[in-house]
Amino acid sequence: MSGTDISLTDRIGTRHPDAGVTRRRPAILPWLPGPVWLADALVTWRWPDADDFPDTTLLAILFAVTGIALLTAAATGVLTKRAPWATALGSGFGAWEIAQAKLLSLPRPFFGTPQDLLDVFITDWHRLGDSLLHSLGLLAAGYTVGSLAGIATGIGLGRSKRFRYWMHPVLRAIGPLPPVALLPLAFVLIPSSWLAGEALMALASGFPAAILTWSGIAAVDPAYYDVARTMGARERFLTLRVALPAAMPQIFVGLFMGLGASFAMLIIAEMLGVKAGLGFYMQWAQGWAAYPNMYAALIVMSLMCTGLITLLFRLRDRILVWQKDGLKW
Amino acid sequence: MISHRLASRRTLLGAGLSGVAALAIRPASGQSAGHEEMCHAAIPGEVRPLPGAPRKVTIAWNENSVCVAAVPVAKEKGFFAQHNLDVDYVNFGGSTDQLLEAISTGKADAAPGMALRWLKPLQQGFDVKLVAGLHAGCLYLSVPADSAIRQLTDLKGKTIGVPDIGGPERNFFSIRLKEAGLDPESDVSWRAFPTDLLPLALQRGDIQALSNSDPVNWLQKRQFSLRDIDTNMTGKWAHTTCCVIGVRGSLVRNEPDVARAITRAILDAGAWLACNPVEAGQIFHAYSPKASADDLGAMIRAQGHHHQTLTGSFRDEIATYAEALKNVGIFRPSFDTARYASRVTQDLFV
Repeated sequence: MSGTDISLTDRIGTRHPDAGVTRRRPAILPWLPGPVWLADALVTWRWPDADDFPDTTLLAILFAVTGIALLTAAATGVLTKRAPWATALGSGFGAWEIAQAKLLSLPRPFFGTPQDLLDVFITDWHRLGDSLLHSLGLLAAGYTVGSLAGIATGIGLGRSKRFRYWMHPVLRAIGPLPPVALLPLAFVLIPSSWLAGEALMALASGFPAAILTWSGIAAVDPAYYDVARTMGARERFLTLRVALPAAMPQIFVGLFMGLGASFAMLIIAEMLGVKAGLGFYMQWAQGWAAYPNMYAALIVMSLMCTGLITLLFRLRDRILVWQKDGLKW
Repeated sequence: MISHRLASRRTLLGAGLSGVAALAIRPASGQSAGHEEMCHAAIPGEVRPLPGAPRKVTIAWNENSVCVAAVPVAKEKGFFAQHNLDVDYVNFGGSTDQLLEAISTGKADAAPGMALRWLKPLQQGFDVKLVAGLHAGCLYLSVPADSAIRQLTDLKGKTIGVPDIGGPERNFFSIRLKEAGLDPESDVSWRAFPTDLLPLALQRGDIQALSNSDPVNWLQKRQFSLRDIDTNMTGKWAHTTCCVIGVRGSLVRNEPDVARAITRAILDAGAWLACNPVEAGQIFHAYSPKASADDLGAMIRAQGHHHQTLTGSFRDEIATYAEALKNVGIFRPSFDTARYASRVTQDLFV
């Protein structure tokens, strides 16, 4: 993949000086998003709303500010690669604003207007922020414990026959179950509802970590162990310095899958009497048909998940420098 | 409030009964023919079946609630067939708010649902019209039998468990707490738990009271020896509709006869149910195998299935609810409840 990338840039690079067309195109594109966003602002401000919507003027100002910022970025040459996306986003917002706020052409109340969404962030940011923090707390504790336990289980499965004998059937029986199904059981067995939620999160994230750690360790070239042994390595060294690093790429796949599973689990865990949380907030918003609030929570949740996955992959790239970009995100 | 028409029929009968008295004399078995006259819906007049081939309609419902047993009864006992309706059911177990979405997106033509569940989301502008009140009473607030909590005011500083943080249980008992002089937001706290885990949360002290609806509540009360401290069969709420019938707005506008037929069939079934709780329990048993048919019959008898409302009195009830929800902060203080009530309701029988 990277090989073709290089040859492509080479080709463009060599054609660049003499082909005038390729030179002019990057000159126009960065100037496109600014006017698009300014047009959004104008439409939002001047075209009267079809119904009584909040914050229309503020939205127009935000569009205008974005437009001016994009023009400045174009002038200073910062905006190049992202120009097509900025244009597409601007056109998207414009189309949404016209279709819903001005013409009401999408079925209500399922589709709100951009200003409805903005209004949620302005009026309800406190509760949304609180929910985000609660969710992050729940996620951090459950995921960390689950991942560590999963990796430990995986190492045990990979390195100890006796551990494998006892643990493998248990893992096979419990692991593939959707943790949701264990909700009542976890609630009965664990004395605190908070701990019960955390345990389910840990289970959701631990299973893929355990399986992939084990697979990773099983796939380590036996020659590595032999070499280490001839140099006098003991079991501890073999596990921590040979097996674990060699299994690292697989372990990160497991951690990534576990993170996905715990995002899904978060919603379930937040059914257990929490005071705040993004899943809790979404359930509440849906019950009241407060769809803009629901979409706002979805946006926050998507940012949170994307952010955490990016963080995980940064960590991966740091630990596995030798295998950079081996996994795509 | 008893519907005006229902009251006048009682006068014709020469019984001169008040609603409470009617409740008291409702026969235990309910199968005797002598009370047949009382078992008619709030709508008078001959049933005129829809012309042509049987009209296909889809009714969405929540088969986890025994209070909407009128829906299966209407099919089982031929009330829909009387109107030349061919009915399909869609079950939305446990998520009554999705019924509104189903109706307004055209996936269903009508659905029964709880007034206190629907009034807040309806504010968002679903194309759904509320056409009639089906019955009163099906919400309970329970505490352990040995709890020191005897009345609503004892709940100050306590935590109440509900199946859904924005659901009718919370809305209704917020209203009741407000009536009792407590602030439902600051004097008590609310926590949501899955329905079947609520008694466990109660046992371990996460919550001190729980609210649920039948048939789950009935069974949990027995299994975990709980005691009701409040229900919506108390005071004026015993005579206020609890479940309402919602019909797709476009159906009401384009085919009012079909909307009328659906509504009347369900109301007829509801009235039959009030007089035949045992047989209704047997019919509903298919949807609720955990509860015995006798228990289901007893639940139906405990609910106010004799209470049906239409037109003006129904609109007044919706306005009453909206006003009460405004008092507990669910609607904003400047909300025009009378205007809202006339916007979301529809007179089909005028």
